[in-house]
Amino acid sequence: MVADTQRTPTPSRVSATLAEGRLGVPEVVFFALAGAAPLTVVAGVATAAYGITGITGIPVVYLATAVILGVFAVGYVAMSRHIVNAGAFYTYITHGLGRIPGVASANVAVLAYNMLQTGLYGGWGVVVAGYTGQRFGWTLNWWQWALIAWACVAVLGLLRVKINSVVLAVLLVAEVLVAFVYDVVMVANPAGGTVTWTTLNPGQLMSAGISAAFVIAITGFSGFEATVVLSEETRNPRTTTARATYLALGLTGALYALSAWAMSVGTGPDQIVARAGAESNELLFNLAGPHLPAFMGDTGHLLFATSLFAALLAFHNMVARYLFSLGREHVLPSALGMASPRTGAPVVASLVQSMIGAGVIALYATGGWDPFARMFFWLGVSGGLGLLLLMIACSVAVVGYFMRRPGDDNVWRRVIAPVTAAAALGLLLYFTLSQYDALLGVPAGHPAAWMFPAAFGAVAALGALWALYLKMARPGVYARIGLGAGEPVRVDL
Amino acid sequence: MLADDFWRLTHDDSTGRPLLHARAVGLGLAAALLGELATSHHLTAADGRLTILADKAPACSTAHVVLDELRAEADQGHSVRTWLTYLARTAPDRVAERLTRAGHVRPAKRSKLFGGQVTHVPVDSVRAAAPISIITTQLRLLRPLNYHEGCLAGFAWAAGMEGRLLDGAPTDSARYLQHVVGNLWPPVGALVSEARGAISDAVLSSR
Repeated sequence: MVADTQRTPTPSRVSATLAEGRLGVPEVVFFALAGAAPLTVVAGVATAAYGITGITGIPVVYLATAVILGVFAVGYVAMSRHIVNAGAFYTYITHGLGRIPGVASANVAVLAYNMLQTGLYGGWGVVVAGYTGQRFGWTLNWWQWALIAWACVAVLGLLRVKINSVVLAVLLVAEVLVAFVYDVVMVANPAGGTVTWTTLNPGQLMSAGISAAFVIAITGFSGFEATVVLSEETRNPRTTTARATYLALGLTGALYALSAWAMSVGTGPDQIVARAGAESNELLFNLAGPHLPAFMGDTGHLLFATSLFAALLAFHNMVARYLFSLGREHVLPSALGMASPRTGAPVVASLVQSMIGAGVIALYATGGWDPFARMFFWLGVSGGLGLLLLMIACSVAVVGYFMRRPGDDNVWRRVIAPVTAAAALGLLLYFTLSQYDALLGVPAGHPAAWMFPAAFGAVAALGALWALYLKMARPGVYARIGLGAGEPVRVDL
Repeated sequence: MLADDFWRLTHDDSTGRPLLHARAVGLGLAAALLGELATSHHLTAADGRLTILADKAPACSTAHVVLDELRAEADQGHSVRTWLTYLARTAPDRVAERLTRAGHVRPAKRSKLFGGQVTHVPVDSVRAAAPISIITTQLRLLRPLNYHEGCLAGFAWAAGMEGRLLDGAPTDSARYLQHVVGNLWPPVGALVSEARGAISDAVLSSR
């Protein structure tokens, strides 16, 4: 659509008018950051990473991951200029590798984003229950708080209430500022009096089991890939999405690395693993709190909670969006493709995701498993594993797509970057799978170590079989996979 | 007029409150306005593009304004989707104004609690309910829809209103509706498809 102004020199009033209402880089960055939930990663994921895996090189891993994801983003964003469909991973893989891998990847995406979303309920429950218990003496437990959040997300999702973008922006900026203030305070008060750089040492990248930390880092960055979903609504699809993606990656990478390092300075690198294991999501506040006025502790916890909630809602919407897209293409039951005429909300998809969330909360509540380690962390990193699989497939798809349609993107975008990304991520995948037990912090041979990866294999296989069935029994439906609402894909923005 | 009846279909017949979310109303009315121009042979829609056919002025001033906008940027090669999105911004006001001029609705200011916006209240709620009752009856009894009713049913389907159109009707009626929608006069059929795609995509948008 916007390319119309690039093809003809005379200014178009239509294009100009439409551009006014469109999104610029800041809005797209905020959209991605809501899913990335910076304070959640800093206070929750990073400490879990230190404590559960026992790896001290977390900060340098965040930096390295940001670089790898940046290389991946090159091909990913290049695709977004050619294919306009909010299905993102699934759509790109369909167009690059074919419909059968496409449908398989759609299932992987739905599972991964559901894991990421439902795991957050555990984090929210623990954080809010812990803080309100300690601060006000309230006695609601983690799953009761989780259900409260669940109910709010379910209603907001069903009514398609968008958190006001100004509110979201303010909360995100506040989150980042608070994290930064904490970081400065922790570095200003190093354990033993001297600032240590051990955890930033690139040599840490060679330590045993380091790949586990990479998957955790990917979990922390998850949400950055949502920028392409907004491509169609941006002012300048050729550049806005790319800039927003790199900006989101850069900002979060820098913040995560800084915060994880600052925490290790605060505890001393020899103590960080032990203290993270013991104090978990309170570590950040315990380290910085004593040096700051009391209201900072309350503010920090409040923003931690809003960060988690924003991420819960963002991932709920992402899953609903995926289910809706797949439903209207008949890749999943078409009832999922129904929207309420009154609100424009993908009601069936939203309800389905809410049911999944309720089910997972109920499962962990009745099973009595640790909501922070086994729900928040396990589901979180397993979701990250799913994203890793999707990114590898997507990188290969980028190469495949551009082999058939060179367009005007250069060799770096079409081949070198995606191949490099696929190789690096593929290597990570190999090491991750071989050490999944270490990642989860369980002894070798524990069933969880193969259950999560196997789940992805199973849903991928189911998807492939379903696509094969569609190809043979319903070729009309099969042919429309990846095309959106049955309309021809608009190409070459 | 197609857009007038589409307005009646998508707003409550006594209060004038919209029954659809705002983007669907805008896109549907925009498609219906283009449908009017297609019906009067002023333009045609095919392969994702609009082509202006005639130089003669449309009888209706609202249609005239829309056609002028289309003519002004005919060389830009905008897709139907772009036009729908652009016209959707002004379509609700234009159609409401046309209905007001003809005396079918009157403006009523909503209280500050509801944002102080102007709603348009149908003057005659029986007349306002006529399009929906005619179409639902024809569909339920499997009676033929004339050209106008068929187009309306198409645009209503595009806006996701099949539930309202088929209110309580047997399954055969649902199939009949699909048949009607699939066999519209091609220019209108193209507009209906494009509107359907645009409104469906609006579900996925961030706003």
